[in-house]
Amino acid sequence: MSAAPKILLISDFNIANLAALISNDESEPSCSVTIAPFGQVDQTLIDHRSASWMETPDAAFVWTQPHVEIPSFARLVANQPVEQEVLVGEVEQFARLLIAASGRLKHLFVATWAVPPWVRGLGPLDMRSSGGIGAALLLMNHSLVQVLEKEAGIHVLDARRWIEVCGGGSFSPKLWYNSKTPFNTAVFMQAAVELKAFLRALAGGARKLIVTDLDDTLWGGVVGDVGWENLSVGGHSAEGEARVDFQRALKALSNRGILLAIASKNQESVALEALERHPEMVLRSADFAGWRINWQDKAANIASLAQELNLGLQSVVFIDDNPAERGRVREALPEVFVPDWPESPLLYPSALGSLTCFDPGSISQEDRDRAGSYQQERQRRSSSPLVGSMDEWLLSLELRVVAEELSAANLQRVTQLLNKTNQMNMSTRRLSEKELSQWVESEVNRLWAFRVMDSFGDSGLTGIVSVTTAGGAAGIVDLVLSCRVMGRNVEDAMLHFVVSQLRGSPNPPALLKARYVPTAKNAPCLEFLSRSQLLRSEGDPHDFSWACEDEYKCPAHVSLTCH
Amino acid sequence: MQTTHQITEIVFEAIDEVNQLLPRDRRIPKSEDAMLFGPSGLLDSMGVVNLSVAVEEKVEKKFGVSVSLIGDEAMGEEVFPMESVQSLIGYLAKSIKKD
Repeated sequence: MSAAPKILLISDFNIANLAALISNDESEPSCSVTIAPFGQVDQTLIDHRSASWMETPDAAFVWTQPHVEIPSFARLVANQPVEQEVLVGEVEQFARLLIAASGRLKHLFVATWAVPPWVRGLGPLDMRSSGGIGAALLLMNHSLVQVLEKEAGIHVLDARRWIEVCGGGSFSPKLWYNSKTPFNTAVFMQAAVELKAFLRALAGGARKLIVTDLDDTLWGGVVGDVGWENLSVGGHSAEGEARVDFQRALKALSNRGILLAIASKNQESVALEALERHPEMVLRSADFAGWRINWQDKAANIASLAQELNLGLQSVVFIDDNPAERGRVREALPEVFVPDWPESPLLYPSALGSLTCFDPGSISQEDRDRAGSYQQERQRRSSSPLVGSMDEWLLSLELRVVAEELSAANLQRVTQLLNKTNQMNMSTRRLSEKELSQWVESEVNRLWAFRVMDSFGDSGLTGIVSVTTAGGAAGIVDLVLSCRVMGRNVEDAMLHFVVSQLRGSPNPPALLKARYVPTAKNAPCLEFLSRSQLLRSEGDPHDFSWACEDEYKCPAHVSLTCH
Repeated sequence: MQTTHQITEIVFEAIDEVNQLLPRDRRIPKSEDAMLFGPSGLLDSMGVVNLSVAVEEKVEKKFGVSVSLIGDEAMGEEVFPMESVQSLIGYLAKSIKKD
């Protein structure tokens, strides 16, 4: 997606207020918004030559009213008989239009359908499958999701949540009759926030690490004063139950790949004992990818944690009950997101759940395994002092790298890795699954993905190299490595593999070129290129090359195979 | 006097809401002198609808009075209530007093 994505809004109602909110929102990415002609949803989706598509939007957001887009639903609202099959057939027809239009876009967002609370249908009987509006709406949304979830690049967004958040005044008859705007601004605000969060996630901007305080945040009380036995976690108090729910919510985020860490002013042994021994503690020390439990400045501790986990500060969220600590971290580390935090612990679970900064662009098995992978990394590090040199330590890891071509089985993960990786990413190219598949179809382009394993566990698909060939030379287009496996010379093994592949090809290129494209976040990639075996150009420090007649050496501690 | 002060607060709150929908350089100042609609006004027709609905809802909540700022009665006024912040506050004060 381009730096300022172009968004096309397609709706059967006046959606100007949403366009204004997205355009005026100063958070990244800034978007340029256009609106398709009012009320011409199907025509816009079908007619790729219409003026709406002239701006070549990156993404479109389609938000319709159920009684307008689905004629059978309008008949149902008018208490006329409608067969379920007919209703579902019209939903599927609409879905086909969306799928066809999605071919012109990187991403197509579609809102679920909702009706105002006063459209009560059959009242208490409204959830009956025969004639009930509520039941029909559930069926329609379910059918829409079922058809669209199979399509890469189409994302169904839950409009009913935006409406619920805004309560009774979500639908505005006054705005509707005066301007054909069905919702109050607050609903559009929710939609804009979620859409922007999704765009950030798709561009690799979702936050990846929560650093939490302990005393009066993860648990109630100061452990150094009251002892772990007397901390408020669980039990039968409202506050204790809320702390358990807060920890459960953190654990749920961890289960889908958000890392947890601790920054606490405490004695480490005392705090860890509390984590291990308190019977109602949901989170144990094994749930944390790292911690800094000491009396040092928390900002310095957070920076050091991020470095240890190979994450940029823009990936970090800091949660602390103490406003002074929050203020200090905000001031010292402006890239770290420090949310305002409620005073009452009863509000902690909802405050955490309301954050959109962790919204994923997609979810893969690697995401689900991430927390475990970082725990393995902690074990790896703790093992390193046991051996003498770095080389010996690397050798002890029994590192295995498996290369594989792009396939239907790994397309989603490769795309996700390409779009999420910021630090070890040579060109920071962002592509949708469809675009990546199309790119690889060209005979001159090749892409390999790399899985990394060692004696501590499987880090999964964590590397990508893609190459394009023209005029006797090959150029690296993408060189991507997850921060989870940086620092083990996997990058060199990947380059060894690619050079070997090029040397063994029917028309081997004379030269392999690499051009580093700087961003605010990918300095680690330049560091790697500079210390790699590649030859740095004297004319341009961002240009590197390798003569393919020579073999690029594979690190001795890496066992490399091709799947 | 107290009512006028409360009305002014309501109008300024509504301006804050509507300003979220406007580019930074076209936002309405919270001043009685601010022109809203017309040749020198800051709002287009959609902006007028947004502001009028926001004000109407707040007035109803605060005073229990239903006003229509862009209905036929308001349109028939010598000065359109949505012309400026001053005319808006004046029209609201008159409507609330009448009710």
